[in-house]
Amino acid sequence: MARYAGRRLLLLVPVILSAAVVTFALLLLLPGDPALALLGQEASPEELARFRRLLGLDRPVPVQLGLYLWRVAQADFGRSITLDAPVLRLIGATLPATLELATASIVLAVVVGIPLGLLAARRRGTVLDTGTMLLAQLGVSMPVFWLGVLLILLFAVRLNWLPSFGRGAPLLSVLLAGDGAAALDSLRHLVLPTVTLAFFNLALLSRLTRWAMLEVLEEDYVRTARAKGQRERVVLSHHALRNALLPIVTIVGLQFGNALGGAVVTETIYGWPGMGRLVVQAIGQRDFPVVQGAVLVLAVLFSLFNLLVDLTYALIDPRIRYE
Amino acid sequence: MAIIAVIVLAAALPRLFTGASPEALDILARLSPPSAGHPLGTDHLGRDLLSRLVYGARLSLLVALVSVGGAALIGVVLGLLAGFYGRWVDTATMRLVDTFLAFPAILLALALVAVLGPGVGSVIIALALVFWTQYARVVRAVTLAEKAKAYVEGARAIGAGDLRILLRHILPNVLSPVIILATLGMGSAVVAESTLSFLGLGVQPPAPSWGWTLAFGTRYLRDAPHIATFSGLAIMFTVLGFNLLGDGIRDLLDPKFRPQ
Repeated sequence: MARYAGRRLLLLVPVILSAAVVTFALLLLLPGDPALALLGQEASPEELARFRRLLGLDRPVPVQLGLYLWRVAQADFGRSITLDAPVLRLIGATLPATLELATASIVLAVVVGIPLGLLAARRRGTVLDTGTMLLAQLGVSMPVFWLGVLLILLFAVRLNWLPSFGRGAPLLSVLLAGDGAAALDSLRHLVLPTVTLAFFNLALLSRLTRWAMLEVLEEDYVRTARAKGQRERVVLSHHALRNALLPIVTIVGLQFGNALGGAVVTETIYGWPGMGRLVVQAIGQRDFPVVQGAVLVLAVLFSLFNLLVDLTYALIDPRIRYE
Repeated sequence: MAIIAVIVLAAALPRLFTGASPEALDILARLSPPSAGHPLGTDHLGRDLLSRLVYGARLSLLVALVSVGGAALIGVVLGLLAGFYGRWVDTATMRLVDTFLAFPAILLALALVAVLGPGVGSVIIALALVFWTQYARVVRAVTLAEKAKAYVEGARAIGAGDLRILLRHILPNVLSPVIILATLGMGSAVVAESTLSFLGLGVQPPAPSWGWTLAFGTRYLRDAPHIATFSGLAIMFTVLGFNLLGDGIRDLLDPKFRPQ
């Protein structure tokens, strides 16, 4: 297992390297002169020259790429054009908010989605099953931003129960400090973005759990367990659920990675000060060092989560042996 | 199927559904709720919302169709070549797939549109470049399985060249999964296009994009919630239609899912 993990970690290096090349190539895709495209027609020749020097645009492309990869390897993503701060510091300041939101959304999706799927599988063909699957079908078809808008309309505009913009104090730190009032405020800010980001995953998870359970319940060993006279609860929890878990764990892991991408939209709607919003703002201001740095960091995190999913396979399914 | 039929009809023959122009301004009637004159109300410039959504269907379907077609074309060609020739062609293609899969899809689409500039063409290129990987993986897997079968050996024995084997024998076998993926992909493309437009980076106004209409609707949630509600419903039903159609086609084409 350790050897497999080590090998997979090593295989991650070329993926990250090629992801870095893609983020570098983004600048080359800019039509015409990147300096002119980023600074605009009103920039003076001196400003353009200074900008080209700053980004290394005055050198041949292979040299630019080499320098870019060298800087990235040292976690140097350059400086933001509009905020005049190191990109790494901006990423460091916004990443915890994104991780908090992504984690909360996955917890909600798991806590609600898996039991819903189990219940639907257990009561197959009933109104409950049909209702759950209808909800799941709507959930996977509903655009995240529209759900966000509807939730704001209902809970913030009409009922005025929850805030629709911004983030409270970091939840983990106020919980550790035992500050109840601040924790409540953080939770109130967290509710709507979390539900918005979780809904798609929750729907997908409930559909998958139902499907996986129905597959497993057809297996011979489940029939044998029932024939032995075991109670239904034991059959479900000890025999069926354990085996249905493999595809479910895979999807949960992948969903965490997807939540990082989905955060781009959710954070923008709710003014959540995370990396997704940072990217959208940077794109709007054509602040390319920030776009490149943030996209690359999110891609690295995304790849790491995908690797974790693969490693979890080996841990939970003894049939899988990696050579 | 019925949902998609209505949306395709709206895209093809918008005059069947509305006589109003999507561009006609009526400032005096701005933000009006649904009424006999404007069945879905009007937007912030007094334009008829029903006609904006009906004409928007054409735009959404066009972007989805061309981007999914582009993604499928890239994926099928690379997947066939990777699966058939193996060795370095396969390694290079799969590393390229891994590279693209290292990015969350919507993030990569955003970054690509950011550099290409907003507009229909950029959105189509960005979505095609984001979605091709799934086709390449599936087509490669099917090609690997098919090329080992006896009929390919037989075709080769009677003198068929690589191109003939690929196009006449293997390609028809990869079409089923590609059609299923493409139908489901249409829904994803509609959401992705409207998401990019919602964030202000996709199709630009005054084009009647559903994403843009919804984005403007969010500014008037308190006074005119009908704008965001109806434009969201249009997107959701389209995606729902493609998802259901994709599931149906899968049930039909894939014996594993066919009801007993």
